[in-house]
Amino acid sequence: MTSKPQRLSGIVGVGMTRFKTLLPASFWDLIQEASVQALNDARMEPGDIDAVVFAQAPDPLHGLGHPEYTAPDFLPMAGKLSLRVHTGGATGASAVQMGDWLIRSGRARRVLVVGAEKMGDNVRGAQEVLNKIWDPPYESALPLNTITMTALQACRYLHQTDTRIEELASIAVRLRGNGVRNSKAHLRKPLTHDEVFDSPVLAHPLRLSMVCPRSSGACAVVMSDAEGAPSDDVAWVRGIAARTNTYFMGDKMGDCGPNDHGRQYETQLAAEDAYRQAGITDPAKQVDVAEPYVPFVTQEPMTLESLGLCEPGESVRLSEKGMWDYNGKLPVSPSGGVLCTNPISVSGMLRIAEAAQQVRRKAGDHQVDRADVAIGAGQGGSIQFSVVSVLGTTSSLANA
Amino acid sequence: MTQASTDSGQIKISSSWALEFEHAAGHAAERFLRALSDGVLLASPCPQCERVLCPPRDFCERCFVRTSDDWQEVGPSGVVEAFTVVHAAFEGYRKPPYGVAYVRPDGASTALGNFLEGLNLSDLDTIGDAIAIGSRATAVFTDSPQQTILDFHWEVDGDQEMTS
Repeated sequence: MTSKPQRLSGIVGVGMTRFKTLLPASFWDLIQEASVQALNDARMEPGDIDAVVFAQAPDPLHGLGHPEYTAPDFLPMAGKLSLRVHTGGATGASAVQMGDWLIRSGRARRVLVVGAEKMGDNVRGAQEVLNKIWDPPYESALPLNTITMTALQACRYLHQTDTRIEELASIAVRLRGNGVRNSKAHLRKPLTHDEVFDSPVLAHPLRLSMVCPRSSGACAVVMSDAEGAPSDDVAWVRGIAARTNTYFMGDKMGDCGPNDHGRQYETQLAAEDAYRQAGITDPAKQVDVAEPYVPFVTQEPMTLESLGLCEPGESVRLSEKGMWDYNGKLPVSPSGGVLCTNPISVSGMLRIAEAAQQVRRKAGDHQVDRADVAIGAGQGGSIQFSVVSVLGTTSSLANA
Repeated sequence: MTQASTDSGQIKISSSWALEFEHAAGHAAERFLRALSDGVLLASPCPQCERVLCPPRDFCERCFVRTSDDWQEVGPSGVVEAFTVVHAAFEGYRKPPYGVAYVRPDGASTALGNFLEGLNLSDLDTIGDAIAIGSRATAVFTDSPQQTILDFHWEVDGDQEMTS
């Protein structure tokens, strides 16, 4: 029996609400629901927590100014260390990374990482908020938002890999089919191949069927040092790394080398670092299941290739062959992923939480067979922030 | 100002953020935006990595070295690096469909984004006949500049095959 690794942090509790555009609960109701669930799952009391990391992306998306100020009255934060993290869509994953740092540095023994989103409360102006990612003098007057940013990415990826947008239909069908299996997912209706292309174009080549919803809901994870982690019910953070990229999309074109807007170079660098930490030398063979960050169908091939799960340009062909299917050799987004559920502040945390649940064999209605080693990743900005984590069972450490 | 309302049994609290700002354009952007009035695209060269950065900025963020003061004129023509045609109506923007392109001006290492005009956008199946990555495009400057990025737009060069 492999002994517990003294130097790693482990995810020992997970909580998540269901996800919909509009939820009747308040922001704080959701935060508490997820936190209580995670603490119960970890078999811990609020008093066991040393630090709270609060995952929250832009305030204007949910409309509460500085919720981290209010948080101490709704969470076990009083008298403890607490920090807010914000890296756009990567926020939830960056928050888990902070939890890992706190524990591995010896500064904390048990950390509660939590966040919520209430995008459905926004009645008008969500894409306007996202437009503000872009620089006032040079770009915010242009119609840049996450839809057009992604369409420009897709333009380059499809051109460089000589792929037609029609070939990506199988990705949408697969991810939406996975959402049906997950009782907490936001979108739970399957899509047929024809429905993918009957859907209206938002920004060429991106159609509505290829785009995530605006979700409300909350997620929490409890992380622990080795002493507080039961060896048969933990997802060890075997590796976690982050990289930041340039804000200028135009710099990832022209003489950009590998840092192309049609690729995810920062994801590749973060993944290489996380694999090095985890002792993973052949991710395509050694990773059992992946929860990458894919809010738009066109990003899946880019991200799977950057994660080293297949050769560049190969992801779409492998998708059509069923490689990434729920019952495939390397299931991708068995939860339905970000395409089915995107509460921006916590989507990155949900990826790592879903990966953790697979490893702990607690994914229930969407558990996959083999899940000793799992990836959970988050991305944010004009894609500037990327976090990649490698989680594993205690027994998986013997092969590291 | 908040109000409470009841909608099918649920109490909702209304609130609104209506914020307006006047931002400083900054040292580099001011120089670039003023040059647009003269029908010129400027770029800043990095003395270390030798990239010619457009839009220009005071520091190369890769090297974190001050870019040279000897800014270079680039373009006005260049190569299309990415484009899209927007069909969804986004609040506050012009009525769709309209094009957006990132074009690398001749002499620059990076691409500069702006609206793309002059194409028939009604049939997306044939858009590939009119524009592709690698097409040539040229900056067209307005007669009444306002020192904003909208003082120019991109147009695909006339020798491309156009749909009717």
